[in-house]
Parts: sequence; structure tokens; C-alpha cells
Amino acid sequence: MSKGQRIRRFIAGFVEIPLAIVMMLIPKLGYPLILIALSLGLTLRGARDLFYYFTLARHMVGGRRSFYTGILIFDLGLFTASLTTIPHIYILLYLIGIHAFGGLVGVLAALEEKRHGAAHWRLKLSGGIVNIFIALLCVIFIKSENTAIYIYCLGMIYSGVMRMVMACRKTAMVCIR
Amino acid sequence: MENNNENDLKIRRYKNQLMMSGFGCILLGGWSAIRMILSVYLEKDKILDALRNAADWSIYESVDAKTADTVLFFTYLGMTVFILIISFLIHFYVGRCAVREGRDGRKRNFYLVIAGLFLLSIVISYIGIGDKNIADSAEEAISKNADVVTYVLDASMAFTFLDMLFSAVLSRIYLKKNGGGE
Amino acid sequence: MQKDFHYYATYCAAFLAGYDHEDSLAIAYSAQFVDDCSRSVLRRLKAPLNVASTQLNLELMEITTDILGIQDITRIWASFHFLPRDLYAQKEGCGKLYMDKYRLICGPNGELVKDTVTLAKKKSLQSVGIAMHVVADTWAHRNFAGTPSLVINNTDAHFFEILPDGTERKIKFRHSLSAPDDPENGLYTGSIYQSAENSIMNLGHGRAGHLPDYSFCRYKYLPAWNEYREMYKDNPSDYWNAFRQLIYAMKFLRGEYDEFHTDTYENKAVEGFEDEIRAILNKRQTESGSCADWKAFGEKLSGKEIPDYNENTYQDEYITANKDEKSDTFLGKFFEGTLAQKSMVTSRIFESGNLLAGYSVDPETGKLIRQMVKGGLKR
Repeated sequence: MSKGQRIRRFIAGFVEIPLAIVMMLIPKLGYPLILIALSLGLTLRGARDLFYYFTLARHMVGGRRSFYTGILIFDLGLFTASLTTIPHIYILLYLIGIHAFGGLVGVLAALEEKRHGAAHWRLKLSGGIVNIFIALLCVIFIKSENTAIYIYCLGMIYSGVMRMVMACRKTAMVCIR
Repeated sequence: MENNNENDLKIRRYKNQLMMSGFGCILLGGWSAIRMILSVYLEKDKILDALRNAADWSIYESVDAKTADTVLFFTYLGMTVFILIISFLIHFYVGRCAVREGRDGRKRNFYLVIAGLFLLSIVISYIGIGDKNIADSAEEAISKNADVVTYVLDASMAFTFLDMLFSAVLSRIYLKKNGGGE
Repeated sequence: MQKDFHYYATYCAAFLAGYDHEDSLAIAYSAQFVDDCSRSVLRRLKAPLNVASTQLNLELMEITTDILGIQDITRIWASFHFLPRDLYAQKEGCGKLYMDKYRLICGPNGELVKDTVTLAKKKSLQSVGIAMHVVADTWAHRNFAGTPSLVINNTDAHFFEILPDGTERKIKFRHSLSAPDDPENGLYTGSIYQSAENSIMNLGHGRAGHLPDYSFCRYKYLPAWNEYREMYKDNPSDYWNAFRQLIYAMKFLRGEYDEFHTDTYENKAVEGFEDEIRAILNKRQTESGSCADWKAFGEKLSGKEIPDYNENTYQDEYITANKDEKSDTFLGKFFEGTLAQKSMVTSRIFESGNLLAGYSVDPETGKLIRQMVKGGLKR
């Protein structure tokens, strides 16, 4: 990782923590903020996949697959943005679903890395398990909206801390002449 | 050893595109159905208002309002889910036939007819929007985020069906030119 | 390619080129050690990490696939295992992002092959071995690139093995790491499909499994970059050309020829051995069987025993040497060779305007940085 990348990752983690605290203190502000962040993330991811298709994958045998997945994620992002006017409980259910899915993907990826003999699969596994655990806790406390959002914010704090830890990890950098 | 005459290249390209469009049809069809069900469930209040306006008021005389609302909503939801399941199954059938023709060469024509009809319905719905003043349409779209989502998805579906039809027809033409084989 | 060719066959080629038994062993060991010189080994030896010529799976798993990680991977794999054929190749309708990857596609008889062989002239036997590894791999690994890229290195279900009787058999790759390949029944392991462009699974010929490394294998498939054109890979023929080119290259390095020309192969030295060599190349067997056959052939040529390859042979010498004497050890010379090769290839890639292998900078003058700032890079 370069210095710039470390700084960026550290800042992203650092920003996530006060954001989570703000959301805990002002829950009514929290839901729209989360949705905006999620929607932006998904839309940008879909746009990135579409950009990937038009610059690279269209020259590849079977590259059109990226176009369809890009459209799907882009649409998911737009759909998420359209949820801001609905009751918070449904937003929370939607977020829980996304996090549970993300956690499951994380666990599967970590197990795959373990199979390949990678050394740091435990970190990824813990991230996935925490995601699923947070989703489950949110479901259990769904009737109490504020409790659910506190749990979600704790998850954000954990994610922010992990980002800062990853930014500080040693990586090898090689220059050649 | 290599089969690389022009016809072979085109056959492979269009069969691959046909397979991808089949994959896209299943994916986007499935997401379209899920999104619609989510939208109905998440916009429960708006739908209930509309249903109450349209419903026969005699329901509200015989039972309490909450029960009536529940019955109305879940009947509506049930019907919507049923229709969407049928829609998804049709998308799945079309997509699967396209994938099979692209991958194994198993030809069917009926799925192309359905794809054509889907494409036509999307084009007609866009023409319907175009009847209005574009600025009005845009303004409405901006104020209703869900419509933007629908327009994007519809455009993607239209592209998918167009690609499917185009690829199926061309791959068959080139296969015939090649004497039926790759 | 694997140990059967990099160690034993290279020994045979070196002997046929005129090197004696001991020199041939040194060349062969160096050629094979290119596949073992990872950062993990270098850490154990307390050697500089930037001389690494390979990366283990564990190391690859830990690298982040951001631009710096990609450059790190590309520097190693493009320099030693997937030497680019044409850094200035053209393809219509493609932007720079795509062309940078396209131009890293490996193939034999490119300009860089000449540069690689010439670089080893008047250098140590270890440098000769490194060059022979690189040249041999341009034949086996052709049509794949030494950078993680789905759009270049992907393969799909259109993959057929051409059996000795001429029939075609569809190959369906397994993704089980523990199950060995079974050529008799057409069961091969390949890396799993990953949709991420820069995934490690899309590095080199992972998607085609070990097929490029089996000298007996003939197959056809659709390379991701070839616009739906089938590519027929005849390994026995390619390996035969590789073997003869190695002899020719080593004869040049010994001084028998004044110049090295690409697309030129040694025929005189292999007279009388062609049938035997082709029989080894065509035999349907995995690495262990092929190693035994090449070893027997080599021992027949030289009349001397070829020790089994042992990665640790020269490591004690390096570890126990004083700091000032390390460069004079076997591995010290090897490391100088890898550094020179990596530097040369990285510079060529950088000079072509491609940043996938990173920057090549003169630490004293910063000359290339200034050139870049002024937009003076060649295209």
C-alpha cells in the first residue's frame, strides 16, 4: 500500500466512526444518511461495472455478462435511493438484508482463502461473521427502532476500526531500477 | 485444426451473445419481480389509500377497518405476487431457451415470439410516456424516484430482448450458411 | 513449464550446446530456481526481496489488487514467466486501458526474447539459466499475460483436448486443489471463474490449469482477447521448438554465433536425437514421469549422473557468506541476474508507455520521471 492509500483508508475508517456516533445521537437523521451512503455506493459500483464493460469487457469473449450485472447493481442503487420516504422499519429490514448477504459473501470468501492457504483469512472471516451477527441482532431488536440503529452503528464503528487497522498493516513495496 | 472462417467467428459471437442475453433476461426479470414486490410492501400506505378509494364500501360496514385494510392489502399483495411469479417464470423460460440455444444449439421459436412481445410492450410504454411533454415527464420522474428506476430497468430489458432477437436470428442465418455446423 | 523442462531438459539443451556437465547443471539449476525464488525464500536467506522471480500462492493471496499490487505482480510474472511478445501491438477500436493489457500477451520470438538472451551475454551461468527459463516459458505460456486480467486471460467452456488419434474431447476443469490432474481421463484442475478484472485467479494461464505445462497436450480454446477465434495449441511442437531455440541461444551465449536471431532453431546439435526427444514430449504423463525420461536422456548424453533438483542446494553457501562475499556465491550471482532481467523488462514496458509494471526510475538522475512529466514517453 502506498502512503496515499494508507491515508485514504485511514481517513475513511476515521470518518465512519463519528458518523456512526452522530447517527446514534440523532436516529432520525441516521436512516436517510445510511440509505444515501448505500445508494451512492451501489450506484457507483454499478456505474463502475458499466464503465468496465465499455472500456474493457466488450472486447472479451462473454464480456457482456458484466453489462448485465452492472445494470442490475446500478438499478439496485437507484432503487435504494427511492426508499427515503418510507417508514424506517422497512429501511432497517432492507439494510439488514444487505448486510446479512454481505456477511455471507465475506464468510464464503474467507473460507475459500483458507482453502488456498492464505494467512489472513481469519480477519475476513471475522468481518463476515460480525456482519451476519449485526444483522441478526437488528432483527431481534427490530421492534425497538432506536436499539436496532444503535446496533447498526456499532457495526459501522467496528468496520471503521478495521479499516484503520488495515491501513496500518505492513505491506511490501518494491521499486526496481 | 482451428475453425476460424468468417462464418465460424460470427456463429460463436452471436451464440455467446444469445447466451448472455438469456442470462440477462433471467437476472433482470428476477430483480424486476423482487423490486415490484418490495415496492408494493414498502408503499403499503399509499396502496391502501388507493384501494380504499376503489373498494366497495360495504366491506367496511361488516368488519372493522383494520381487518378490512389487512384483507384488501394482502389480497392485492397476493394477486401482485401471483402475477409477478408468472411474469418471472415467463422471463425464466425465455432466458433459459436463449441460454440453451446459445450453449447447445437447441432451437425453439416460441421464446423468440415472447421476447418480441415483451420488447413491443416496452416500446409502447415508452411511446406512451413520450406523448406527454418531455419536461413534464422529467419533472414527474424527478419527483417520483421509483419511476426513474423503472425507466432504467425497462430500457435494460428492451436492450436485452433486442440483443436476444438479433443474436438468435443472425446465429441461425450463419449456421445455415455454414451448413448447419460451427 | 515445469521442472521436467526447466531443469532436466535445460540440462540436456545446455550439454548439446557445448557446456560441460558442471556448467550444464548450474544453468539447469538456475533455470528451475526461477520458479522457486519467492519472497518467502528470500526472507529466510535474508536476501533482498526485490530479486524475487516468482510469487507463491500465499504471497499472491496477501497482495491487494490495487494498482501497486498489480504492478508488483506484473513486474515479476511478465519478466520471468510471461515475457510480452509485442509491446507495441495494435488492435482496432480499443482504448489505452485495454491495450496496456493486450500488449503484455506472452509469445515466442518477440523483441524481448532477443533482449533477454543478449542481456545474458558475457554474464554468469546463472544469468544464462534465467534467460533459458524465460525463453522456454514464452513457448509454453504463449497467449496469456503475466498480469491479472479477466479480459485477457479468461477462458470459457469452449475448451477441447485433441487426443493422439485426432478426436476431440471437451475439457471441463475442476476447481479442487487437492485432486491431481488425470490426463488419461481428461480431468484437469483450473482456477475458478472470478468476475473481478484484477483477481489473482485471472493471472497467467490459471484459467487453463496446467495444460500449457504438459508437453504432450494439444488443445484448442477461445482466448478472451482473440475475437472468438479459436486458438490451437500444439505443445509437443512448441516444446520441440523451445528445446532447439534454447540450444541455439546457448550456443550464441558461448560465443559460437555472433548474433542472436529470433525464429532461429538449432538443428545440427539435435541430429540423431529427434525421435527420442519427440517421444518424451509426446508421452502422456505428468511431471514425475517426464522428469524421469528427461533425466535418463540427459545422463545418456553426458554419461554422468544428474542429481535430483534440490531447491536448498546453494542456500547454506549464501547464508554463511560474509556480506562482502555474498555477490560471489552461486545465489548471489543468481540474484544479480534476476534483478537485471526484471529491470530490463520493466524498463521496456515503461518505455512503451505502459504503467502496468510500474515505474522504472534512475535513482540518481530521476531522468525517466522528468521524461514522463514532459510527455516524452514513446508509444
